[in-house]
Amino acid sequence: MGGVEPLATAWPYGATSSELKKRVEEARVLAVGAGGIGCELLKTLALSGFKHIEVIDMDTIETSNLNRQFLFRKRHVGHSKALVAAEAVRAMRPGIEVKAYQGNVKERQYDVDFFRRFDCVLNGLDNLEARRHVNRLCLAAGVPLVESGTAGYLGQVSVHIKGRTECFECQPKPAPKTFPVCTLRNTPDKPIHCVVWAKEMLFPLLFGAPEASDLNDGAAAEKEGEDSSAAGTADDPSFYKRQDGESSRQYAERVFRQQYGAKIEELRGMEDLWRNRPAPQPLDLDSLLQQAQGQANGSSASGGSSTASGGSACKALGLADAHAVWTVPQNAALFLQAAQQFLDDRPDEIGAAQFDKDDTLAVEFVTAAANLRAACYGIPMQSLFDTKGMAGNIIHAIATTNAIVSGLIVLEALKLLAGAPEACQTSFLHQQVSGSKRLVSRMAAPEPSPACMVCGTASVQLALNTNTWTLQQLVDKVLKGRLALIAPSITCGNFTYEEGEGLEEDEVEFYRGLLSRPLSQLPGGGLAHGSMLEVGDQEQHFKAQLIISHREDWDEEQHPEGFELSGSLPAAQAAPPAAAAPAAEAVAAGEPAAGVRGGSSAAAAPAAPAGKVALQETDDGIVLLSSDEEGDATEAAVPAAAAGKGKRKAPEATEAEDGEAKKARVEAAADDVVDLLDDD
Amino acid sequence: MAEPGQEQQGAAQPAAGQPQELTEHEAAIYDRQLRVWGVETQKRLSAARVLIAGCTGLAAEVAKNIVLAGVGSVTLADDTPCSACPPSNFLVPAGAAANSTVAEACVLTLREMNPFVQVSALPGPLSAALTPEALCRHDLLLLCGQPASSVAAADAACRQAGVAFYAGACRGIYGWAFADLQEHHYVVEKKEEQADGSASKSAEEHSERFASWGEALGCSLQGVSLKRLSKLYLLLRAAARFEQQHERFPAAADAEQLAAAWAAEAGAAGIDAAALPAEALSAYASDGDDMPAINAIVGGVLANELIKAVGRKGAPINNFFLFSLLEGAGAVERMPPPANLDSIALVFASLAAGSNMGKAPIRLKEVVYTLSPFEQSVMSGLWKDLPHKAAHHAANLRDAVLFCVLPIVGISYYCADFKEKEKQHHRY
Ligand SMILES: [Zn+2]
Repeated sequence: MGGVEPLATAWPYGATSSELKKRVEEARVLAVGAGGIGCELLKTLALSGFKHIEVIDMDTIETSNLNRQFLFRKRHVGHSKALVAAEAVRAMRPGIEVKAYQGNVKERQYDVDFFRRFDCVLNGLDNLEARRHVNRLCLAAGVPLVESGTAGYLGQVSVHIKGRTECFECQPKPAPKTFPVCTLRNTPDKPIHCVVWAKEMLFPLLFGAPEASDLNDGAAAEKEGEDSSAAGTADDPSFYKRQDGESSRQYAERVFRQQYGAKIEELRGMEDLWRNRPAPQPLDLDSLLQQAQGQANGSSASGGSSTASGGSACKALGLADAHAVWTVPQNAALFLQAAQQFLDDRPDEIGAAQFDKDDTLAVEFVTAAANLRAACYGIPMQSLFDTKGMAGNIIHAIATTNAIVSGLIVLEALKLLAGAPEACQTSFLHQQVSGSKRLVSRMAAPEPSPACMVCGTASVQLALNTNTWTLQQLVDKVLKGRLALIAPSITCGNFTYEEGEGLEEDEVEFYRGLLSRPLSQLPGGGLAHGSMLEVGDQEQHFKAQLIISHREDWDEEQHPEGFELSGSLPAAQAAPPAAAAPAAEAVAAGEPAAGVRGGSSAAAAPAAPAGKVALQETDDGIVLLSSDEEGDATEAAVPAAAAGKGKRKAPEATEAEDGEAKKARVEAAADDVVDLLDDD
Repeated sequence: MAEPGQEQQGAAQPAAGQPQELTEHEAAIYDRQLRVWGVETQKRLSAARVLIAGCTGLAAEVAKNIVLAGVGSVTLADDTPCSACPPSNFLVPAGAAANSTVAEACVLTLREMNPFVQVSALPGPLSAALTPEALCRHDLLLLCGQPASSVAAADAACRQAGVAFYAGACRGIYGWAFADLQEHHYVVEKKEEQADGSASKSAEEHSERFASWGEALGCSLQGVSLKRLSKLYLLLRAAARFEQQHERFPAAADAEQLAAAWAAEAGAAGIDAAALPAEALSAYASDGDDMPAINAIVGGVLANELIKAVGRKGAPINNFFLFSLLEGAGAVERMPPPANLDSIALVFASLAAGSNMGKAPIRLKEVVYTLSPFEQSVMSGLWKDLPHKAAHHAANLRDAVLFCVLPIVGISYYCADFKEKEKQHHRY
């Protein structure tokens, strides 16, 4: 795009010129994502005169999309977003060529040649991995990328032009929030800990495949090595098998007594744990049920039939208000009712069920289970509505923010076509104006960071224990999980590891055999402290250098995953001059981002200008480069605390923000949500 | 098209003005936004009746946004035939019957978009929306794509009827929105996270006064920092001068007249005419269409403000949102600007605070409405800074204020604003 001639009438006055209009009509653009931002974007593109639009999205339409994804109707629920959106745009403005792909942008057919066909790529994505993937392909194809994200009232749009502005990955993105397993299992002190426990540990034990759960799995593995205080509380999956002749009700009661009675008692016995915190109190099921009976007070539905309730245990119990916080006896009744209904009505799923935020019964069960645990630990209980938000990592989303962001995206696309890349900017949409008087503020697009692992030449340091880490863990947790590679390859001296297509069968077999080995035991002398790894991904045209540093002592609280990635940036990296001034504007203006708050981003890149930090966080501790799409577990829900920040209160935060929901972020969930355009 | 109509009839419609509980289906559809603004706002929203006059591309954006959000009812007024529909109005499908009006075509699309919302077209020309009969059946009027002369008339009609007023338009590289909520009471909710991870909510009551369109564009610019002022505001003042006189937007051929209007405006306001480049003026006086991207931006902001206004939650924009490609940003300006503090204003601020404490406020409306924009803005600006104590004692102050302060204010108002008012009267 560097080659686009400037218009005869320069930007901004040329924005309405017939010359630009003609260029727009001829341009080919790719919209990645047909969700919240995508629908608005397609509409705004079509109205702006674009005639060759392609859109890709793998998702299908859901009911909760209808409040903002206005190209979809109720009758479209279950259909492909990309196809329905394309059809709607064609109906809106016939004569526009809209090509839709129902697929994952990470699939092989969307390769560099595919991207090269476009004049620019416009992202309306809902997860970090897909964004990084598209970023790398756009760099490889030399196609400019307009990136966007929304959360509640907040929005952001940035432009990434190879060699001219920073790429999407020039600024480190905060790592996802994780909770130490022992906190979840033994010493929860926040509602989110209880919700995660209920969703990730208890739910799979009862209804799913417990061995598939990371947390239960880890529990078994740690049993041997750890001291007794943590090990004693791991669950034995065999206890949760239904016994012969046991009714669903009896089973539910047995689990209840175990989880909220016996196990709490057992935990109380570990006195070490309760030196500095109050010990949990067990719940007595019988007295709770008596109280529940009293509260239900003639409500005939109590403990009633599950068939009439249409799959909702709350309905069966007459618990109507999802925004109310129910009492402990009510939660106990709900726990039993939900478990019972699950077992009776959905026998086929038992042993393989997975938590889904749109599964009413599952949400009801998790709400009750989490609240009962909270009651044991003296933690405030939550409404079903709030629990659903936490458990489902639901991102707040409204139509207006998406619409505004779509307008800002198209403006940047127009600048690119107008041959005015110097006018490209990073735009921020705020919830409130402050000193700057700007509701939509701008910052000149920052220059690329030479220290960027993706578009620059920097290397990354990876600290882990080379004796206990296996190659499998390195590949899954670091290369795929954190560096967003799809088909990683590793080269270090004589050692090679490869994945992806084009390998011979015996090669695949050979590499698979290596996966279970500890890093220090790999062929070619093993990977050790100081090993320099060349890691790459053929499909992404990505290459980076990874330097291993061996570390044995890991604090589970600080690094639950047992590894740490850090950039090896020169200490006094000069701040890109282009970014410095506007950043200052943003800070002086008291923007929500409010200057450098010494967080992970600032720490990782000591000289990053303030505005760059602003790029990543808001008052609410959200990573702004996220989209409205729900299930965006990988990034949108990162709390300020996770990035090592003191949480800053918005002085004028006027809307009730579901802070906890935003923070709901579990490591295990990252594994659930690796697919592009995850469920929006 | 029968299907959406039936659906709409089937859906339970809330009685106007009375928030009702959300149905299960509504809760499912609105789930994501309930997480943004809460159930209370949603219920108020579903009881709100919005009237939109002028079905431009901007109006289409706002209508789409508030219909998706679940406003109670939307009435559209615009009898332009579909054959002459602005191309940026995406609610009018390409195949719409040429003889139906733009409003009628929009209604069909909006009904489909959210069957819970009552959407209808107001028969007759756009001006029918400005009659007392039409206004009294709505809580809010949004006027889109009309010249300053119409905006002034609509604002006056809304003030008369006690209806909240919004206006907006997008032309070329510019888009603006204006709000006149007259006297607006709202709460600001604060959510504090406790150490145990739970959240505690507190709500603060606020009130704010808005200037009329005439006051907002006719006020003195003395002491206003031109450097920090959005150029689009200056442009609107020049355009208002032209549009008030010609009762239409300036076309490309009117560029010279618009420049003359700016010269006159700058002279009267005592500003250097160079503050606004000639190109910036001619970009407004164009035959060109609106930019859909700017419609989306201004329409999104306007819809947020409408929702805030009817939900009575969150500080509203008072009183301009100005988006311009000159700045590449969207500014919020308050015009006339809040003036400096003085003692009279201080007492008045307590009064405003007192009337806002949930007790029956004394009816000061008549008096207050004749205040100059200066005092009006001082009052609300000041009220924010007032310690709670002062507000607390305000009730006791009422009588004193009524009898002692009003005359002083009257005099102060008369002296300070005589010139300004005279100018305004002359113009409007
Ligand atoms: Zn980079």
